[in-house]
Amino acid sequence: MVAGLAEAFSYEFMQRALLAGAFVAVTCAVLGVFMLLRGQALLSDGLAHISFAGIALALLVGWAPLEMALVAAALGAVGIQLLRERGLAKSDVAIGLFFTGGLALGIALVSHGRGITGGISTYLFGSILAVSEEDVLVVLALAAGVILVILALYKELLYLAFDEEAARVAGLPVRSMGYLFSILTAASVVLAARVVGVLLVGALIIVPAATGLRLAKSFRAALALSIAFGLASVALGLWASLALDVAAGAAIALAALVLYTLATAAYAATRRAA
Amino acid sequence: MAVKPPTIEARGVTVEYGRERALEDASLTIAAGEFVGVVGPNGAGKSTLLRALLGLAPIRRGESKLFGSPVHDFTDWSRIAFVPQNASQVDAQFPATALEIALLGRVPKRGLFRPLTAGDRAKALGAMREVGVEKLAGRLVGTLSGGERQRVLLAKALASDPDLLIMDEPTTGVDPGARAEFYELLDHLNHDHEITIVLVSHDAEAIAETAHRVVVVNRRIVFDGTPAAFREEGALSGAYGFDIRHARTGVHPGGEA
Repeated sequence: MVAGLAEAFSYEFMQRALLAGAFVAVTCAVLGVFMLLRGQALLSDGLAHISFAGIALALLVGWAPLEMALVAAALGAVGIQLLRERGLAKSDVAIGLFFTGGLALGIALVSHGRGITGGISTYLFGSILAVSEEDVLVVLALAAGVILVILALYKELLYLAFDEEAARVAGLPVRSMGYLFSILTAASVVLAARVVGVLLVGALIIVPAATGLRLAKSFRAALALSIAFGLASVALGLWASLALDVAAGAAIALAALVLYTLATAAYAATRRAA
Repeated sequence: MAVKPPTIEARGVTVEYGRERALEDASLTIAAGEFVGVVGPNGAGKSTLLRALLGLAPIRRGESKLFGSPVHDFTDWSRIAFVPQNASQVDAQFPATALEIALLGRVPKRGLFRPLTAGDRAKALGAMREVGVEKLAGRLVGTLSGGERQRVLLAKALASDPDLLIMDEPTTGVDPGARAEFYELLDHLNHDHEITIVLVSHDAEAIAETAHRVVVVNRRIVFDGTPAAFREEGALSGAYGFDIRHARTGVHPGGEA
């Protein structure tokens, strides 16, 4: 298997895929931990479906799909936050409304411009193996931006995840941070969609974070473990994709779920032993 | 020397959530160094009073001031430590150690974009030592007992060097032995650290034993006096009934139990 891995990653397109995938995995794992602790796991799926409308529009009118996906997801994120904040809809309802709207709009646009159907499938199911050098640069810049913001606001984000009300009384700008967090989530969703596709963003945002949280003995460990599981999912998935000739996005998602299952079994075994 | 403004000053505060009036015409002045216990029946507006004082509840009428500033203009939040209701019912899966939680107390002191320092860590550990949970520093907070968890939250509060500590039902889920020790600890923080304490609790007996002043809330503030007066007026037995309300306001109770 090691020889197989080494050979697989000797191809230039695999190296590009691995590089882009690694950056995305790190970004999504870190953000995923905060999302799960804030009880917003499904926000990523909701925003992914909203980004689909942006991608469809971009393909229809000839704009850059990644950038338009980001704009659509960011608008959706702000919209969901506004509905929640004004008490117009609970979080899951707000996500459901935008989720449905984004998907419906995307499908309407795709069905209108029938010629883009082929292009859209690469975004629905991911196309990391076909990532260009230019794509890699955009992905790296976006991922680096998200990570820098998280590093700069690490202690505040932890405080918010632990106790939002106490954070408010501690004088933290809870409202602005909520919006900022939504925008970061939108960026991560677009990154994840580039690797595993719109339909499987949870593979890089929810699953590695859930695995890390299962085993962690501290918050720092939770972040480190989630990153490790995200990276391992991408590497194993890319290799399996080549070895078994299956779609890379699906292979990465399945690899992430296998790791989650193993981690959960290990956790249960150690608890029984204790 | 200028006279220090009261730590808390509320005048005629009325809070409404939609059509429901949760608190009516509440006036309360708390001076620096006081230890005030707020008691009353379930759903009587105790938490609403705290939240109004902190500007978290929608004040329909009246005004709340913190350290002399109207709460909506108040910016010096690092002087206040707040432990909300259910804070001790931390998600058992929350992946933070006791020390990581205590360190959060230093966040408002440090400010945005500035990482916590070794000094902050020492301060948080010192606060943990003070409340007797230093040995739990490396343990996941979700694995601690209710009493231990509550002390960790107290360490977090203490680490911020607050002038005012506000706690909402801090002893929920804490066993009676640990509860008594917890009240002793609060007494120590009030006396030796000169921290003003405002504590909401359903545990009227413990409040009357520990606090310097008891406030009974039942939509309105229906009693405000010393623990001795609280006992004399039969409020200990009547805190969950309406004796005090009759005695003080002559208003008959609403439909609340």
